[in-house]
Amino acid sequence: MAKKPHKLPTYNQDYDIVLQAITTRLPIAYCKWSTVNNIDPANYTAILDSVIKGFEKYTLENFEYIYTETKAKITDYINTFEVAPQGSIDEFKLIFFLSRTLSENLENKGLKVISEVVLTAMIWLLDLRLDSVKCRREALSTQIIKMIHRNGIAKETGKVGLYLTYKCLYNSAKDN
Amino acid sequence: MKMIFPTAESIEFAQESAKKIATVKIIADTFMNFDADYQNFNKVDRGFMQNLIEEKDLSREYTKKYIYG
Repeated sequence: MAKKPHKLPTYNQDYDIVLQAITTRLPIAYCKWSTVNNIDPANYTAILDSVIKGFEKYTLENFEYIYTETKAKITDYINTFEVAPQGSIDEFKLIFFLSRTLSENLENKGLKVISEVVLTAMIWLLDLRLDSVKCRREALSTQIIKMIHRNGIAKETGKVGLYLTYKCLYNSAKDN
Repeated sequence: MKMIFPTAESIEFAQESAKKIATVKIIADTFMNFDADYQNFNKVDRGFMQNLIEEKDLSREYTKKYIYG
């Protein structure tokens, strides 16, 4: 007999907060991304301005797709690993799956730089969580941002490897 | 390896840009459906979300520390 599906409130405001958090951290993420990947910051302000305007236009035109796809990714993860939560979806899932949706879709549209900067903003936010339990690892962040630049996230960590790394580091530090 | 760093002016510009970005909202369905059984109780850390809204991590001191390691 088929299982009766569970229902969980999506808490719209949390998606809004995380999307805006990613957006407002893009400039700083661009700084970090260019520093780690040794990219010449010449014409920095012009490039950044163009990147930000492009991202705003993209999110306004694609917000419905962004949400639907993010929800599908989270549902797939929860059903695959059989970890349906009672209560609400934690902030790690919101940050990770929303960022992955954004970056994949931006890259499919040929916007590779902003796609990489979005993932760097994701690392920024995940690092904030590690910072809160004093287990942020600078070397980990640097290597992941390099991996982002060589387009290796999906190939080297799969669909959820990066999420699991951050969530487990956080939980381990919090529990000990 | 030669490292090229953004200038102090670039970082300042980045922080100013962050303040100017428009609000983007997602209109979500009310519920998500899962087939998997409940395993644990999760919740969003409200303190963390509030810190994101207040952009405490975008302070000059924190961003410089983060960017330069």
